[in-house]
Amino acid sequence: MLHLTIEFSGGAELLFGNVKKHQVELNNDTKWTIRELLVWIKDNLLKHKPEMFLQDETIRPGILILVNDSDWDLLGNLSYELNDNDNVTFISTLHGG
Amino acid sequence: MCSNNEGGLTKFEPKPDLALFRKCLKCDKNSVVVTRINDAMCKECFVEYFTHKFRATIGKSKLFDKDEVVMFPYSSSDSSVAMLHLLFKGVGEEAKKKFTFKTICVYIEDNYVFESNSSTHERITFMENVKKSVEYSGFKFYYSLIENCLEPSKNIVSDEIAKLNLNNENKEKFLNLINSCKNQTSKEELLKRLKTQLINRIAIELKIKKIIFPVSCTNLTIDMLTNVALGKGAHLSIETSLEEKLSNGLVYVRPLRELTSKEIAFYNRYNNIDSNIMAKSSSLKNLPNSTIYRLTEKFINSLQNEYPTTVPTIFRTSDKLTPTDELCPEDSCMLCELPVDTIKKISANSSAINDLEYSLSISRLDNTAIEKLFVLKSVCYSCSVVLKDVGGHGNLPQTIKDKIKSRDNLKDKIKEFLIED
Ligand SMILES: [Zn+2]
Ligand SMILES: [Zn+2]
Repeated sequence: MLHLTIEFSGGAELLFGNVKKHQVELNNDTKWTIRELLVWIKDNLLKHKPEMFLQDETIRPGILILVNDSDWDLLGNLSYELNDNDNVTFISTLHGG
Repeated sequence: MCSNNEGGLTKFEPKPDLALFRKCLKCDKNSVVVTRINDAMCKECFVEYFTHKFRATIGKSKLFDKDEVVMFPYSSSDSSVAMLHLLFKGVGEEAKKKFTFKTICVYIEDNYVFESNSSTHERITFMENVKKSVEYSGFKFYYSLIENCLEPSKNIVSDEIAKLNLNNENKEKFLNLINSCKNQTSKEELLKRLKTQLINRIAIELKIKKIIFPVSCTNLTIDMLTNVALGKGAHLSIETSLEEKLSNGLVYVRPLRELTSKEIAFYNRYNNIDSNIMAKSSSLKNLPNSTIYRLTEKFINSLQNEYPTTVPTIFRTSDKLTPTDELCPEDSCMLCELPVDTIKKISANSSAINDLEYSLSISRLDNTAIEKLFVLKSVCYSCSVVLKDVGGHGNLPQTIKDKIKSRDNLKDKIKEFLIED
């Protein structure tokens, strides 16, 4: 099994029942990249309209992704391959108002 | 390294393959974050770069006098949380050169007012949580409620949450006013303006002249393009400047204007303060395409992702603009307090005002219509567009209506307009 900690902050947690930290286990028969993880999150954790979280098959602009506190821009974005015990954090920078 | 392409040519290039930037550009460590100029840095170097940028902006041209008291409208948004931490560090023991001005914060509750199912108790609990999250800073905090924008008396702010007037008729009046807006954009714009007005009144009440707004380069750019779309072009360079002097004597300062929303998010994360961000449940109603602001936000954030250098470029455009001579500082807008633009004369041709004037000329106007005409005549072009969409002007803050009355004698002004036409 692939064990991941998924965190939401900056307001992104509102889309997930106001829960900031989720511990998840994924079946690692196949490899998991961020691309597949986004779809999994949409199908399994998301409590609101998909367009609040995803857009054009990637993350909605204005929501940042960090893997183990590193900018996903440095890790190959959608094609980053997840490792056991990775922490994936989603931070919304979108305005509340 | 820290330069932001000033003087150099902007390259309209998509971002390079950043997986190549493994090393921090300032030291030997591995990089963890990429800033807007495609500079990759390690955690420590990034936090230092960010702090330096803020201090350099705030230290510019002696913005504040020694011991001057400044007001910080803290909203528990990501940029508020970052700025509170930066100010806290700026007066702390470790700061090399301490800030010599004094900060007073004001938190205005504007989330629970829209929650019809929530109790007053929940609203108080939320504010108490905000209070706990800012206690570490040691700054004096005041509290207010958004519906206080309708409170005619000076009783609009308190340093004790328990002393706020939570069960008053202003809340209902406020909701009536906001809900009378015909579309989501004017609702959002009216809210923004009413909140700013309340912030101004609180500053005056607390006898503070300078207000520091925690707004990032990204959000200023979104505001700027939204304002262009809303006909507020005449105010562009004023509303994005580092220092803005209002006709009522107040001064706005924007010390985060050199930092992007992405940089702010990483700063909060690396200082373990992102848990202090209190998200507003009302933001769930803001679907990506629901208003001009949301759509602009989506566009700017996409640009920031794909062409990171272009956002500061758009933003810097406003620095190159100078306010037109045709702006008349003595004649300020009742809603946004900025000079009324001459474009407003064009707006006089816009159908709403025209229709009203026509009716007036053939004396078929009742009092509410006269009131509507004068409200529209006392604001800038953009605010008149917003107000046109507001149903009942009777619900507007008494403070605004009083200002209009005190400025112009209604009847004389009517005659004047009729002769002009
Ligand atoms: Zn470094
Ligand atoms: Zn205005």
